[in-house]
Amino acid sequence: MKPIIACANIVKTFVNGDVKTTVLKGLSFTVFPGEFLAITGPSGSGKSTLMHILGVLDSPTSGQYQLEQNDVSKMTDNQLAEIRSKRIGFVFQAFNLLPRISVLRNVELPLMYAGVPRAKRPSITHRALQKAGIDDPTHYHKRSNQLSGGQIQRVAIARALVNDPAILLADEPTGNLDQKTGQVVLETFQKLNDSGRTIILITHDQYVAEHATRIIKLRDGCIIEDSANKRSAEERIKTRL
Amino acid sequence: MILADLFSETYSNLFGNKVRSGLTMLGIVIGISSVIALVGVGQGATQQVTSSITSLGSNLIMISPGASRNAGPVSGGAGSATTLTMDDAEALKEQMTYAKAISTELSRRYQVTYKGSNTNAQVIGTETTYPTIRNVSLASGSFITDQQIQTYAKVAVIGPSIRDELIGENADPIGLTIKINKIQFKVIGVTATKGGSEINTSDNSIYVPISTAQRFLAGKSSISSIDIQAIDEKSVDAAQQEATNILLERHDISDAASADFRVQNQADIVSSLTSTTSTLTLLLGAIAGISLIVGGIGIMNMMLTTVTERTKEIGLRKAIGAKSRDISLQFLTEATMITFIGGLFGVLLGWAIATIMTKTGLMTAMVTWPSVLLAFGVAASVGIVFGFYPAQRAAKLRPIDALKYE
Repeated sequence: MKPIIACANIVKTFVNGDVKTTVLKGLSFTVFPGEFLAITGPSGSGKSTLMHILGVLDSPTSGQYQLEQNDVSKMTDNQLAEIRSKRIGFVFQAFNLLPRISVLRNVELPLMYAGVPRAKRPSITHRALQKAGIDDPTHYHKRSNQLSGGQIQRVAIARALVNDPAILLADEPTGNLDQKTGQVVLETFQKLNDSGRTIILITHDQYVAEHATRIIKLRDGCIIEDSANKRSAEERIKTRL
Repeated sequence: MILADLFSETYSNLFGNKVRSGLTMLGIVIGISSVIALVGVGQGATQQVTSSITSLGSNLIMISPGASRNAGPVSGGAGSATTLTMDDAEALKEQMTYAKAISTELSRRYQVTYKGSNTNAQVIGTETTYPTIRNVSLASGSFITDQQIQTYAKVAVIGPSIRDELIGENADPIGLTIKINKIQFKVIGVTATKGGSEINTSDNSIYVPISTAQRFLAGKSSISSIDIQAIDEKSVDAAQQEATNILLERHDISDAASADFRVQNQADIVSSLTSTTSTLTLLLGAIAGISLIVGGIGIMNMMLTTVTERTKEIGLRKAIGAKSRDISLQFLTEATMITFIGGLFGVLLGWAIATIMTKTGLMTAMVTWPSVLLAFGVAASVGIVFGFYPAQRAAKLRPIDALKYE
């Protein structure tokens, strides 16, 4: 099986005036389709920077990043926009939904930028919302201020799924939620992973990371641990039984 | 991103902030409507001047005395000299080949009374050919005849406004006796209403035989102007030249520049007056144009604020697949849409203002298609020009910077 992500010696240095800060110090790892990877570490460990690079929102200072066997560092801005549009789905910690437009319109946005004809959009949008666990159509025409935090994150997941991306990238998706609603959102991710979706979850919270099948621990821009999460696998088998 | 998406995005963005969009639009509405209304005022004035001068008569050439020249360095105003005489007019009548009709005038303002009422009116001593030359027709009665001129008859043809003021609205004044400068005149006719022009309207004039005016009213034999009607439009210039030559010879003046009379044709008067009114139009348009530019800057200001305010949104949009072009197009469409809708309301408002001004008689404002198209075109380009920079700024934001923006 070919890896979906192949990182080789990724370095990211920020220059602020005369001060150079190296946030990522040569990371190498691969991710295969169907993995549920949690990248974890204390704040300042470089996990958000890594997520931005993985999501082609930012480019590495040096090193090679191959997404589905394509070298991302050689792409133009428009090609990167195309990748973000079709191959990657984002879920952020906050400000996920545009406040002025309805749930449906929010979920539709990636389809609009990907150039999907208007007539085809509603059915795709509805399917994505159902996959993300928003199956009550009364929510569809609400705006984000009429939804709960958990609902907002699940609408964001629906939007991330709508273009059927190769990877779902989530940056602290439960950071603004209480534990109970956070649990619902994490279960949504697990269900998606069970159906074969590749998910990369960035979190500082060990409890949240435990939901993944593999955990990469970062500290000071280096990988200090990369291991399969046996507990998670066992629990999953339990729930299936 | 297809056009329908662009418009629905623009719609929800503009309607999401109704107050701000409305106020920005107001700047454009005021700019456009003032352009339309003020240019309309200028064009209305031009048209009024042109029509009032055309109503003086067709293919008209007017000769008036020059400034009086005394021994000293002080010269009197134009027309103050008494250099034109009946003999000059007779000579023109005899010698001119390009003239269809010639008539003399001796005008002055006098107090006119009828029983208890009195008014001040322009009394024009003239000849039988006057109505044809000056395009004046009679509503009732008859005009002055050659016989009345020869016999110094004290008869008068009055304008409809004079009749209304002095005798009564739509009364029949024929046969009544009015007093001009305390001398009794019998009314023999009323001219038809010409209306319109403020300059030299015939509605406010009284016509008497030229001989009567010279002997009983002015007490002098000079005349205040000679009107010549050229045979046709093409011969106006030739007739003007001919009249000038005849008079120069009669007055024994070799240099045309020092002539003691002035020969003007209608086209000269029209062009000199319309050049004034087109300057007026230009000036009014320029003032209105400034408000349009101010409105445009308002748009730029609003768009820049919006870009700053929506930085996170731009980041999110880019993260989920928006290209730079999509972002810049969206902001540009918003700016253009504001000016477009503002322009539409502006045209309607400007047109309404012009109509109300005209209807209430405050001013004649004429809204023409070119001025509407011009204002609209300017508005559209204002939107594009002033929306371009904010749109570029939005498009150039890096998604990562935009997302991190607090």
